[in-house]
Amino acid sequence: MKVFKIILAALLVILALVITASALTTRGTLPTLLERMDPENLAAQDAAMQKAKDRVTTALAENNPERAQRSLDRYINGFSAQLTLSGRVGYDLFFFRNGPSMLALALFLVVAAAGLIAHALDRSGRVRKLVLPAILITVLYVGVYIVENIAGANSMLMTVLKKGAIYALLAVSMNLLNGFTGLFSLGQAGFMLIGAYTYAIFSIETQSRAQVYQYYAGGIIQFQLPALVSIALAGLAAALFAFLIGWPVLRLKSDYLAIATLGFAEIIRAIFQYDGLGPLTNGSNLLRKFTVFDTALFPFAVAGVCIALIALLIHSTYGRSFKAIRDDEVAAEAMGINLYAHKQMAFVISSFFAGVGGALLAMYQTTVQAAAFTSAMTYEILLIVVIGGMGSISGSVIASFLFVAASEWWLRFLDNETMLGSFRVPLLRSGFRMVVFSVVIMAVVLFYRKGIMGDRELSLGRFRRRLSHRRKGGAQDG
Amino acid sequence: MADAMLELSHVTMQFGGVVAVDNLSMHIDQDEIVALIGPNGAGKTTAFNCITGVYTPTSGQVFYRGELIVSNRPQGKMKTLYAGSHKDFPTQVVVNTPDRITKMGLARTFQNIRLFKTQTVFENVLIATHLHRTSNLFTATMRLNRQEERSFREHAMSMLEAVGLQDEKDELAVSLPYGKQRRLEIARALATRPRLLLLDEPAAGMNPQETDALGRFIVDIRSRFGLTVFLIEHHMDLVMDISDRIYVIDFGRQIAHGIPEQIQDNPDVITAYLGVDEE
Ligand SMILES: Nc1ncnc2c1ncn2[C@@H]1O[C@H](COP(=O)(O)OP(=O)(O)OP(=O)(O)O)[C@@H](O)[C@H]1O
Ligand SMILES: [Mg+2]
Repeated sequence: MKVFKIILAALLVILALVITASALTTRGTLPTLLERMDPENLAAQDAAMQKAKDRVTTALAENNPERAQRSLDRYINGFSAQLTLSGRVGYDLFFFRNGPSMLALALFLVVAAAGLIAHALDRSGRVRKLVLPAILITVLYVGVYIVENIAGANSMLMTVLKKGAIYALLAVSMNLLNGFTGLFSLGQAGFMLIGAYTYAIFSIETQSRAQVYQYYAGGIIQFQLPALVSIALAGLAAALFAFLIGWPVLRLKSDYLAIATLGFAEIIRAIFQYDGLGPLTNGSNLLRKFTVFDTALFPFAVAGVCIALIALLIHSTYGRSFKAIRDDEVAAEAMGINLYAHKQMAFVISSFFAGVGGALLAMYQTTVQAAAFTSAMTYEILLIVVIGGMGSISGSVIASFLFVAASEWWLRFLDNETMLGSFRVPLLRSGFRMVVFSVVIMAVVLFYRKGIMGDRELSLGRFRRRLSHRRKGGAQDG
Repeated sequence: MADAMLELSHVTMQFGGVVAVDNLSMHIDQDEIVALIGPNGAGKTTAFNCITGVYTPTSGQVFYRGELIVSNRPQGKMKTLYAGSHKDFPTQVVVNTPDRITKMGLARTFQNIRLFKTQTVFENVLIATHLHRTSNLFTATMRLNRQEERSFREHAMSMLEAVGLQDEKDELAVSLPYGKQRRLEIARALATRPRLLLLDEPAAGMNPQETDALGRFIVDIRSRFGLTVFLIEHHMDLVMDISDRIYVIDFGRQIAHGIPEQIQDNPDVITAYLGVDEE
């Protein structure tokens, strides 16, 4: 069994190497191959074959079977050489066209092979715990990549995947605060706005600034930062605002945070549209012509890394302190947890990632306008957090994709007036979708209070245990 | 004489018009087990809350190992409202939050059990080990603190073993029976590595056998962990059994103080408790 796994892994690696070699060399070999397909070359070959064929005819007339056979062989050789040549050109062209896909596939094969080998050699079960998630993550990203190439970047499926990934980050960041630390904040849209604007302002193409800021003489910033730097700045800007709000508000015993953040979100929306800030924010006009992403892998990668960081934080000693505060502030403080410092930490980190999410949303929308960041956006994300389960990261992620798919895709028909023959279907009109959503959240709150996941996580270990009906105690690692 | 472990000087706590603790002065020496008793509503828990920073007393001072950790005088509205019997106020104002006081070495349990409800028995104790944390946000998130994490886990586990809850470590804390929840609270307090342990009615809800075992347990952990114990309790057998000294308060005021034998026969104490259900 072990030998079989290792042989299989070796085969996978060889296949991966072949694919990689092909994908990397086609660009170089194609020109020489095409050279051999030049009309003169082909014509020379055709002439040689014509000659061979004539010789076969002559040999037959002369009743000389050996010479006829030799000439025919020569004829067939020439023919198959041409076939081989066009075959190789076709093969190379395929890799030339799908090079990145093929490299992804090779990477996937190597990871799978590594997983197989680790699986075969692993005695402690520790490697298994690391390898399985690694394989799943690779499958996810390769899957997104391949789906994008097949379905097309602008298909409804990709729209849902892109927005879903961004909403997943926004929901997880809100969950860090509302679900894991027990602080009720309603400022998500405000922090997203700051993130989106910071990103847009710093990443508009320099040559387009005059056009974008046409009412403000091209704006005051006249440079463009790389996308990742701008995203980091977006997070930092949101975090700074959170720090300034938290500084007075989080010291209070009672929870004024919800009111303060809600007010902040409303005020910031007005401030960013204020004409006096126009050279920076473009007033109430759109910001556009900034760097956007052209593949879903980008939001998946950024959101994935951010969510992974939040998950690591939540399972660290700091995360445990957050949960202690959520469960019982008085007891947490008596256990030596500095309430203000930890609340501030959770609030600032949550807002940082809300800012990053806002930047991604700006990239997704390709334009930014402050007026769009209403409190309805906060409620949307709060809804996702509640549906997924307060205190469950995987719940937030799953709920995000379901929510985006439902609102952008599956429930679209609710907003469209529909005629069945001459009968106008009642209720179906613009806005009805939100009514259905409200009913859904009421249903969740009333009957399904803990959401999809409660405060549990999707875990491979649990899944496997359930599959094999084998219950082992002593899993102490989160 | 060395400084007392804990010293209260004229501590008064007034809520609106109610003086819950009035001019309370006491001292606890190292290695002692001292009990604070009194009828319901006498102000015992309030006294604990003043010591541990949950409340800032209206007036008075608290010293821990000679260090002034709490000091206050009537301020704002309390200047005119003040109704305590001691009128000689300290000049200094010192306020410490409960987490800082716990870090100094005072740990407590709660009368109305306050466990972390969504967490397991083990996690409840693990959280209490964190005040000795040296890792920062980055090293903790990136798992660069494995050694520290391992020592936290070992320490938490040994605390669970000390109270005999190691077999229930993966259960939800709130699913434990009452008596075990109280023991878990003690394990959690011990995990902060205190010098002074404040127990607020640790035997509440326990049957006589459990109460007996708890008494032996308290004496045992005192010597094992080098603790000083300050205890609020209604079970008189337990109090008389294990206490070195007893303070009795009623309506926030000290009415008696002495060794168990003195308290048992004190007429004031008997009057205060007369007609009061002693549980
Ligand atoms: N936060 C508060 N606000 C107002 N009054 C309070 C507060 N805390 C306590 N009190 C009052 O102070 C008095 C003493 O309460 P405390 O809880 O300290 O009594 P106790 O001695 O612990 O009683 P028990 O034996 O019932 O636990 C009571 O009259 C109570 O109502
Ligand atoms: Mg009490």
